[in-house]
Amino acid sequence: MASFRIENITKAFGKFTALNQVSTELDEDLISAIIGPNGAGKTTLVNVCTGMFPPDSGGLFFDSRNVTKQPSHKRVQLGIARTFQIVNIFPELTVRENIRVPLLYARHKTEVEEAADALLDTYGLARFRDTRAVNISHGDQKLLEMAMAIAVAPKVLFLDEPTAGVGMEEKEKIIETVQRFKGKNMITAIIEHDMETVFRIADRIIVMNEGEVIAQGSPEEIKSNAFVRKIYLKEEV
Amino acid sequence: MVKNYKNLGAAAAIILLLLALPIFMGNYNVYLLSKILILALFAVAFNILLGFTGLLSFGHALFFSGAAYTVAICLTECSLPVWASLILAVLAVLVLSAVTGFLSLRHKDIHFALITLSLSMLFWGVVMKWRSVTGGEDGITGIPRMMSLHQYYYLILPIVIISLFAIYKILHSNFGLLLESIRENETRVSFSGHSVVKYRMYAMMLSAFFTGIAGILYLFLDGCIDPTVSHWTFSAVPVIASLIGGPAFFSGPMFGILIYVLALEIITKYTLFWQLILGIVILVVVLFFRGGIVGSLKMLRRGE
Repeated sequence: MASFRIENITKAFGKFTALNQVSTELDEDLISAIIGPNGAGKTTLVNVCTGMFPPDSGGLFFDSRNVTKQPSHKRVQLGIARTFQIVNIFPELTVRENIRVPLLYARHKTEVEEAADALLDTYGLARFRDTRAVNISHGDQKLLEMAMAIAVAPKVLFLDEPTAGVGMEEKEKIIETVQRFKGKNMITAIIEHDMETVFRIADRIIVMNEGEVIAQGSPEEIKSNAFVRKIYLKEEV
Repeated sequence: MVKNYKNLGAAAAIILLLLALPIFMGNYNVYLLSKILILALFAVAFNILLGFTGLLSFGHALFFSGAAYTVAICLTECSLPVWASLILAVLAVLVLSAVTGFLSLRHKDIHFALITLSLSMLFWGVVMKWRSVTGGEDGITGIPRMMSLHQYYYLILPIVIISLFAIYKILHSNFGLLLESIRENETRVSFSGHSVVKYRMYAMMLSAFFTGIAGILYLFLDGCIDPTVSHWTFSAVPVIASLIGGPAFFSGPMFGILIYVLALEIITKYTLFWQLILGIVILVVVLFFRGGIVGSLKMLRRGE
């Protein structure tokens, strides 16, 4: 069973401590949701895990291999991919060219074209193949970004608010796509604000507040955690 | 497919025109046409970085004059045969570009531009001060062309065409797509598993290689070399040409150079203040024709 271990990660920006001694473990074939109020450190944690910037202290281990100091492209080569909170694609390239870029790393050049078409079909983007990515809807851009992350055949996938700012229909499509990742020998971690979505798709929930993990466990355990309900769900306990 | 045939037809027509033109031209105009061809290669090679990789180099004179000076020194100071001088010049350019890339490619925007500018000016300083080898301000003269100007033109033409064709094929390959994606969004390129710095380095060396070829052709055209082609103002030539022609298009810098050289020829006949007029032209292009001439023509054709 593959796992991604986060050990005592601390990250500060000047005097502001964004992450304080964060430790947790993400397991294969489970969808782990990282939740918490704005400024809790969720995106910073994903940024540190994927190599956007290094932690001040602590370690990151993928299958017992220390990846703390690896640059982001090396982490992708090890199988750690991600999507971003704000859509991160190649806006002026066509949808198909967007997909081809990660495939050029992940596949032999003779397989790239076929694999690109297959991914476009799977993600319902085939009709936009020659459209510039900037001209498709926000929801389809989110799906495109997800397809680009999947194109590198990841073993660990971090999804940063994949349903933010999309319509109901597109949101459903994205949720269904994420659910399909289960049972594919993949570690999936998702940052999500919508609690309904979280409790619908997550097998495990990690709750963060002010740069710390304040609780982690199954959805039922989190639901019944009085501290979480008080801090995050703002419920009277 | 139809578009490809049209482009192919246009390219064939231009090549035929370039083959025929010198028959009706005197020496000066053949010289001018040769200069345009060489500078067009220089500008297209430069645009591998600007238009396709998103890096503004202000130091391409380093590679242009680096290759030219290497050949000139090898021929005059070391009395090496031409073939050996050419090989050494190519090696020198690759080393210069690798060093420049190593120092600059982790940076971008203004920082990248200033590092390339500084390295280029460092080279200019060496050329100016190392009089015993480079001839200082006077440069190196007496480089034998070994053929007439017309004959030399017919040597330049295939070299430039083959070089341009090679650049075109490279930019329209998977490698070219990676360069464009770096220009678009380098973060996403990293998260696609590619090393951005590695591909930028390849682009830099490729650009320098073809710039070096242009520099060597220029050396034999004039039969001499001096520090003007090492100065940063010479690095500005492909920048201006790309802006005028349209950096987003492969053919943009070629049109830019054509207009730049011809405009200089015409303007300088009437006024010494050619920089003033050139400045106004650049200002107008940047303010009102963002895509350059090629971009504007394409927009016009689409009816935008």
